[in-house]
Amino acid sequence: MSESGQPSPSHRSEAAMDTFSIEIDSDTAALKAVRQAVEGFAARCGCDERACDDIGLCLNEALANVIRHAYKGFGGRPIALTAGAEGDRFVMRLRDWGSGVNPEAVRRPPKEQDLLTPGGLGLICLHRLMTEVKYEPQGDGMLLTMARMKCSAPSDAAKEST
Amino acid sequence: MSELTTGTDLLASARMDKARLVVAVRGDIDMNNSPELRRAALDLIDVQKPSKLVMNLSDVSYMDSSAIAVLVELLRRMGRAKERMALTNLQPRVKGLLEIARLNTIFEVAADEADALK
Amino acid sequence: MEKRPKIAATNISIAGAVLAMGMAGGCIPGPSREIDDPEPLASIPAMKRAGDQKDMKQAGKLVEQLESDDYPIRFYAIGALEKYTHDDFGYIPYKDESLRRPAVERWKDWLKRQENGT
Repeated sequence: MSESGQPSPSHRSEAAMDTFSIEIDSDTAALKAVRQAVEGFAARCGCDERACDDIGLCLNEALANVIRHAYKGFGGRPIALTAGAEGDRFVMRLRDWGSGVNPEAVRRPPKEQDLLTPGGLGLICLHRLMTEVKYEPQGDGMLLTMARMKCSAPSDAAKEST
Repeated sequence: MSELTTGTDLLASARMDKARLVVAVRGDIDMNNSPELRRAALDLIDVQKPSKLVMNLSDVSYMDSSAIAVLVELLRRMGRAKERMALTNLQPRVKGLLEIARLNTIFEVAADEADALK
Repeated sequence: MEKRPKIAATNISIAGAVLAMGMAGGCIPGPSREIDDPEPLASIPAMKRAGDQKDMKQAGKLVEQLESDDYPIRFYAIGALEKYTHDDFGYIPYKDESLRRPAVERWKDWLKRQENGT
């Protein structure tokens, strides 16, 4: 990934067949629409139902964290979302131009209070349900990459219950 | 049994059943509308002072972490004891989120309202 | 449980993607997609563009999308149309179809007035 947060050329050509990029506003009213649009697209990319559910939930949590922390609750700020299939994975990238606070930098081993704060539980969901979660500070914001296998392994059910 | 006005589309119905407040939640609950659910439920609790809160989630196909936080706050308002609040008719996605949050044990989870009101 | 609308697999094939503000430098722009593209993620940027530009040539398609079965399409269609008029004519995208219908008719009337220059 380049400094500006764009995919590298080889990555871009591989991703280009099944990838969409949209810009959305940091508007909580849009969360449901964006989530459902991406869930539907993930299904059409071959993600199974559990994968689509996980993708939708994690995208929602990541967007909510951007609105809450990167943009301090302000609406009307830009969030660039790229989503699509890359081989056997479904990959999402969220770019914001906010505070640049890296949630990972302040992350501790999960404690009870994390579960009870929306942002805390959101991060826990990302790490439990996605196969990749990467925060990359940009000079003027943050790039979050999340990925999940399109097909859920039978062990995913067991993993969620541990 | 007495029907109550809820003041929000998110609560499809609310009634008192022998000092127990039974509400039916409706819709996808996320950061956009969880504050509205929170306010409506807290208002009902403050006015009705129920001995138990029963939340029927059969019409809730999606919740996010902010909605879970509302449920936790309602449990605290009810006095934290597990028997003071029950969630019923959980759809798989909501049940899954509660399990990820390891909160499926702090709430009473019942199959349906009748089960929660036994 | 919500159903996810299906479209033909061939529609997935996309030559490239248009990256958003701040990510545009050096990327390969994809073909612009239309408002009535069956893939919501393709239609949404087109709807936003039409609203930002108050493009009257696209207004008819936006009004049609108010009747989409897809909530994301309806949400962004009304968002774009509000930019033309600063009014939603009472259209609420998450309401049932029967409750949206009167507002859709008001939007159709608005469109006719624009087309007739009245």
